[in-house]
Amino acid sequence: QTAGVTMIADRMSIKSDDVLVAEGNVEVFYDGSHLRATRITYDPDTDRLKIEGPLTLASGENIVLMASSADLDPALTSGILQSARLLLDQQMQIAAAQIHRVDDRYLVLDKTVASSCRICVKDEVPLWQIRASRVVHDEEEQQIYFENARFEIAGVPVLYLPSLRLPDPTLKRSTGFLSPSIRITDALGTGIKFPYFITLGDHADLTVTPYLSTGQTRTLELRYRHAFRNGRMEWNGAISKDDIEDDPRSYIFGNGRFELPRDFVLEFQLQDTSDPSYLLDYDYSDADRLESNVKLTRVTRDEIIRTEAIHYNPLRSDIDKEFVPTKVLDLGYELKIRPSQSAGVFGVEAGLLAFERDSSDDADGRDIQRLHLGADWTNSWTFDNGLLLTADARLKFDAYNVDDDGSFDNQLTRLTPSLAVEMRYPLVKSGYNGASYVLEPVLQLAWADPSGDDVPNDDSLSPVLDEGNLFALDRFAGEDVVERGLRANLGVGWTRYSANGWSFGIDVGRVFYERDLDQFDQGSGLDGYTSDWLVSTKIFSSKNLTISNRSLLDDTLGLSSSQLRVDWQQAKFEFETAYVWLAKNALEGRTEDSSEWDFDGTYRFDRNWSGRAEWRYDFTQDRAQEAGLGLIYKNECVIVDLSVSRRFTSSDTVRPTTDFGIDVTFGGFGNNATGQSYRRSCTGV
Amino acid sequence: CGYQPAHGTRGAASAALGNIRIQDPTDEAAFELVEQLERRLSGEGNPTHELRYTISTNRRRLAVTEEEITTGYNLNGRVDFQIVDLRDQSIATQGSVSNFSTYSATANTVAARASERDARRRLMVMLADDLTARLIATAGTWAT
Amino acid sequence: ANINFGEAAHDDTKPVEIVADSLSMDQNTGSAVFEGNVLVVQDTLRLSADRIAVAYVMEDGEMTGDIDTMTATGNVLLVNGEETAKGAQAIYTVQEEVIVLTGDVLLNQGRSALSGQKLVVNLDTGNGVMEGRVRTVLQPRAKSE
Repeated sequence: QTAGVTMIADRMSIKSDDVLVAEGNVEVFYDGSHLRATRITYDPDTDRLKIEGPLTLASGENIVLMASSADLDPALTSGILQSARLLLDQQMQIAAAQIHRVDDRYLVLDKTVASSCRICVKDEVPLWQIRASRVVHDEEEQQIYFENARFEIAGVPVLYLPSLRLPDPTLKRSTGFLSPSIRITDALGTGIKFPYFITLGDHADLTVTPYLSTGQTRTLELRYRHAFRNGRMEWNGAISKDDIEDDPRSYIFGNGRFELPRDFVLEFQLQDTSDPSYLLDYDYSDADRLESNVKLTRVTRDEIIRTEAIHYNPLRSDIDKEFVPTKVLDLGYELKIRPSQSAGVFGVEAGLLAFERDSSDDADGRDIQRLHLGADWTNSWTFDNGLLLTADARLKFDAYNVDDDGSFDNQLTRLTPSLAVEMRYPLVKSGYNGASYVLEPVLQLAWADPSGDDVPNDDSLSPVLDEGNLFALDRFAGEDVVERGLRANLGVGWTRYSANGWSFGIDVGRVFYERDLDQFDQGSGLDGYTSDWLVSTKIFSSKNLTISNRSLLDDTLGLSSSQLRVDWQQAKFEFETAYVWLAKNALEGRTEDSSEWDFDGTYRFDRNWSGRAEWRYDFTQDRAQEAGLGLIYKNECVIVDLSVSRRFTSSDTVRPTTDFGIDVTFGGFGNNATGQSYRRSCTGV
Repeated sequence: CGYQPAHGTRGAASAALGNIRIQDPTDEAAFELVEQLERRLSGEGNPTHELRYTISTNRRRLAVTEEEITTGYNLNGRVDFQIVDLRDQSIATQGSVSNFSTYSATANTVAARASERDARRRLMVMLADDLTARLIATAGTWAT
Repeated sequence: ANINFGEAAHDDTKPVEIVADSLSMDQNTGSAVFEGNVLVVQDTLRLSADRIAVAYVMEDGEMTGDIDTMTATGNVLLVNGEETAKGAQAIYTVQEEVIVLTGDVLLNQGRSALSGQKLVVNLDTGNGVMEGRVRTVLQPRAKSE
């Protein structure tokens, strides 16, 4: 059975009774195992290898045994190693007085010390270790079984377990406890979570996490995931009995996505909670509106088919659920037709929107069914002098069926023709050091004239002006309101691209209306004869730094809204920060100007320490809205994540909460090796 | 002052930008990006280059009131692109562009939904325009 | 550590018999060159090669009958009882009773086969040591034998 066991050495000799002695860099190869030692004697009668170390026996690259001496069979599958160490996946080290190797699958270690922390100097006490009278490693199941395990942190015994099973570092997925985490909040006291992961076949798993805190809450969190051949779905939920509310509280969030034949995609989402503040108290979600929906869509180059059914559950305290559309059906179809290259692109679209408010009060409980049909055409021409001319024509027909609103007839129709002509004249210049410049003046004349009934407006409440709709045929977000009248949209963009990847750009734009049709509300920047000045600047560097600002300035160059964003990613740090100034807008629930700065960044101090900070500061209230700090220590054998965050909300339904979290994960078990760059090396480099 | 037209007969960019085939969209955001790119890069020639792109977006809360009510959102978007020379499948040029659009989160769910979809449409128009400007500016280097 | 080369110790007092196709002697240097299917036999030892140069012990310029060294080159084969060793070249120093075989040496002993660069055999003690990244394939002795 040991045919094919090859041995190589510097010197070999055969003694009288045919015993073979090999000395000097001796190596034995057999079926994936590789033994290296200083001296090996092989006795054909007993068919055993007597090995003198220091020796290393590697079986595959994940299991390496080191010992001072050993007695093994030639196939290296069974035998005893003396004062040996087992190294698993270059992470987990188990030292043992003796290691028995059994049937090429098990390693039985006696009087062991296991740790994945770096040990440089002999007898150095590692950050944590597990002493056990016996450890069995099952190579096939990739599990490690400890007997009489004593868990020590920095040499101090912390926990004693008669028996303990942990996954070995190469195991990606197995049933068992995940590392616990501690959560301290002023609402729920000091609590601890024990996640237990259960594999259900190869394609599904269930994580059950009991969360118990000092008498304040008894919660069971559940997560179920299932992967299908053509899609996946995930469900998260929790049930709690706590001191904040009398009866039990719960929530469920589910979502799934499936790829159907002929490119159709089916998606669904389910969100429900027993009471609004439950999600915030337990930090499950900061959503202030729950949405459950089913969507079937198909998108190809020239066609969109979209069917959506949605149910909303508003959690916002400032909303009366009854007067908000909670059941919505939205069907949409869009098709592009390209008869020939020069004839431009024809488009047809059709849409049905139906929504219902629970209340049937007049006007406040209005329900709508709306059919929308549209046909459009666009074409563009490039003239020899470099001028680009683009023409757009669109005819839109809307038919409404209105319930519960006396101020409108039941059936309403409206027809809206619109036309636009756009002239662009992009100019290019290349500078001396490889820089290149683009200057692009653009003028668009647009006109639309709806005729027919006045229709109720539910979906076009707060228009916004930016470079994305400066040259749009209709700046209103929805279909209910159409931008009327003749207007000229004027814009010029100038961008400098330097050779080393930096670019600096500025766009300026303004809208000039033939007549003030008072179709925009005050804070939108679009009201009056002329819109505010749209000024947008951007700096983009090759080293992942982006600074961008977009502002709307009125004629006195007063700010009506402005936003500055900075994103920077580097090896040692990355952050995203934004300052936002928005004028008050009752429709958007902003009763006063909003001036807010939010920041979210991480910084890696050195090889093992990194920090995280995030805050949102409200200058008008002159108080922080939320703030969070995190400190993470990560090395080859442990990840400690300390975090504190506070939400300064104050309202009757939502309480301010402070949330401390301590999360400790021990490396070397299961496939969660920390990155190479975090490993401490013995040379202290 | 050294500027010359980018398109037209003497245009530095027109040769290249006229015949770029754009990768087919598979979702609504990509559909809107391609729609705007086709307006800006319309060309008659048979394609010598292909524009490949991946779109990534994320949403961040904005202007959160004292009662923890989110009154606005920022939709941040990024397009990583490659222009592939179809003759030898080599990458002629590549890079990424990023931008953001802001929209309000009104109480009315139908309005909030429409403004969220409109924000995505505007963001795709902006990303397409940034990408087009970048291609026009650098056409000299890759559009041989 | 040694190789037992041959069952009984080799008796170096036995006469050395050399057979070859051709022989050329050189009295004053005390050397003889046997060429063509050369075979040397001494007691249980047989050494064959394409060419063996024998150097005799010289005493004050006169060639004595004793052989000092034999240098065999080309298809050298050394046989002693069941043990055989092949190599490119061998040097046999008769007085010290040591044969050094070099050049892709292959030693077959019983059912073990060792391949290496150099084999040193001491005929008196029967010990042999193979050196130079020696390689072998382990063969357990069949239980029935």
